[in-house]
Amino acid sequence: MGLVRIDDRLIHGQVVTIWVKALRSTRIVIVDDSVAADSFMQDVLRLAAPPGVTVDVCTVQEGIATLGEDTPGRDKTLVLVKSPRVAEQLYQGGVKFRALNVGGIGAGPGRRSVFKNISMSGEEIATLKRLMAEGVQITLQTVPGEKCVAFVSMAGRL
Amino acid sequence: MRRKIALAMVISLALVLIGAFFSFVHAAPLVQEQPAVKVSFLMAAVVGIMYYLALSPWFANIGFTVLYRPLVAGTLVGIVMGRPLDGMMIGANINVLYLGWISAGGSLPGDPALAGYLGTALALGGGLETEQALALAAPLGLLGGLTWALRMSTCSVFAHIADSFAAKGNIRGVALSNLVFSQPFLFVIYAVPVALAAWLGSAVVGQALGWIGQNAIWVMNGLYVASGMLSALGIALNLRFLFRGSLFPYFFIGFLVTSLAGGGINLLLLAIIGACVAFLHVLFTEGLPEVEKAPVQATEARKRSGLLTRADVFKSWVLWLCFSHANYNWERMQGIGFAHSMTPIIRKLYKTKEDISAALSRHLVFYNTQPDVGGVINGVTIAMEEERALGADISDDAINAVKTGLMGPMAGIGDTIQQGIVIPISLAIGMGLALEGNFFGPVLFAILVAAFVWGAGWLIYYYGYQQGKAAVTNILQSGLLNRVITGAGVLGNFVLGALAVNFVKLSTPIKFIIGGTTFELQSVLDSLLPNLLPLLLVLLVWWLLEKKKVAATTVMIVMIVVAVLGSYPIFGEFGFF
Repeated sequence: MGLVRIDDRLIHGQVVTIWVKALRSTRIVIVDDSVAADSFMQDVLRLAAPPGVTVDVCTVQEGIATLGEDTPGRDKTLVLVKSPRVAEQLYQGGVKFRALNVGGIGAGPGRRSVFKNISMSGEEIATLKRLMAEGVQITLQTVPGEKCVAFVSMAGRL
Repeated sequence: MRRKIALAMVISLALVLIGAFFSFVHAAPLVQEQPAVKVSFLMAAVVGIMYYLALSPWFANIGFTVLYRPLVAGTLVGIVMGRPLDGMMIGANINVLYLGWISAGGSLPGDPALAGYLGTALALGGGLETEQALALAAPLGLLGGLTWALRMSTCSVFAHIADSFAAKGNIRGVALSNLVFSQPFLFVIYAVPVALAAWLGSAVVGQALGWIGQNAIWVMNGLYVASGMLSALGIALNLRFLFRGSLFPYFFIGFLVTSLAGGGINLLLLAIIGACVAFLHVLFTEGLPEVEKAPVQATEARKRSGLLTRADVFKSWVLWLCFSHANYNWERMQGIGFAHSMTPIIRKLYKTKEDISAALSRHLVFYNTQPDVGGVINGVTIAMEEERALGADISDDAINAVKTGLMGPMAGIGDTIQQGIVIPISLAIGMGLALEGNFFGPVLFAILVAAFVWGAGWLIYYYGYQQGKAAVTNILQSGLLNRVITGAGVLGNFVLGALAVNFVKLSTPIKFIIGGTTFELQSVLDSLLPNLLPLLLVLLVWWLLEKKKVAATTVMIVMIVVAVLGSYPIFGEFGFF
């Protein structure tokens, strides 16, 4: 797959106007149990995708099944998940991505600001540290061209 | 790595050659036609204040969408400094670089307003020519990132003050805390440094240029070369979004039409031709959209309760229009702005302190969308709040799910339409007119953008309230949206082709002497195709950005360095031929 990105807003301006064009993605896979159960949101996300890009919404289980068989043709797939937990579930389920982009996690109860518009709870930081220990290259970056920070360089301080 | 270095060297060499050729064109000693403006403290202060106003919420979103753009900034600074025509021309030239500028999701790649306000002030104060200003303004634009980071972090602190007002159920407190802390702070970090830089900097720039004019006139040539090249970068940046699929031939059509007309073609007329071509393209490729029937049914489906009036929704919209980004910050983004827009609704719907406090708190959470198209979400939320106040079983989670689910997709569409279509195309037309010395250019740009931001903004907002969630799928499903995007792509390519002729200046002084007869390469090229070199430069930069993934900032810095160094007379004395 092209890129696995944690972004709790899923498809939005950064993804539509910049990432999809930078990666030349033709397919976005959203892995999220709650969206997979919400037909209204699925309609919205499909309709919001730029022309020429297909959007598949699946549950974590389905995501493991479809993304796990990593065929070469999937090179340009952009995988979007809302939280580090889902990324870890995919990884443990057998979707062995090498790189993980953290693009946006909004502030909320229990979360503290980590980098720009990215906030995380202690549990979420621990999850990313486990993925880092597995050898996943984790970067924090909103869009290509903006400042990019390696998670490994800040993990010690968190 | 080696390949990258090799590539960088080849590119640098190519740019040095281009820069060197170009330097001959202006090799004659420069005559500074216009004397520099003596920048008084008052002028500088007004420039600083205008820069703050461009980022402020006081003009109902016309700040960011209109005042923020160098075309308008240059004109305003020109008026303040007593040289409106030069200011407008400088602004138009600076704006070329920022034509494809998009700020999505709180990321800010360079600062057009800083380049526009400070760049124009320094150019006028330093006595720069219109065609040299961009080389000075472009690096200034990069500095805007510093204040942006400071603003986005500091305003996070103010969000917590709004939280404590919400806990007390103080509606007015929440509304005020969107403004009373952020605005004085923003005034200090925006207006003061720019005013000082304009006041002190113009003398420094003026003296530096004076010295250069006496001792190193080639640097002046370098500024011409750099500005001409940077225009190509601006066009190429915008082409990244447009130059693709079945649309790219329209770029060449726009280019050829303008080029054959000798460049002096009225861009408004050209844009109207482009719009007709765009309509035909959409008609032939996608047909006309089918007439929608669904909305009527949806209106009937949602019961009007009568708790809220159109005036309440309008008040809410005005607050959103003005103050959505007043306290923009990394932690909540537009969260405070959203809560602020809900204050008239909450005041009307909820009476007990507990209900008010709960409503304020649930709207103070993280929120970020594109304000015009995303306004539909505010409308939908108002409808849900109204039903909830009437006793319907709508939980906090349900409201939050709609907001957080929709804010991303609507931002994607909103950014594509507002920042990707409405602003750049209106700007292109305005810049084209401005270059002919027509003050209608910036005015027309402001009118077109205001029509969208105010007109479409309100219609979308109210439609969201009327239709509820169905509004979102109705807007997205109507085939109109994709047709507008495709048509805008055609028009955008067409207009950019014309701008490439008007703004990118590149020519060669090379002469061949064959058998005693002199052949000027430029006239040979002109007989093939006028403006061939500007076209090739634009395509080269587009190729670097799009295919080679070279960062725009890298291209910018390389261009300036290469242009100035390439103008050093060593090339001129020895020449190539």
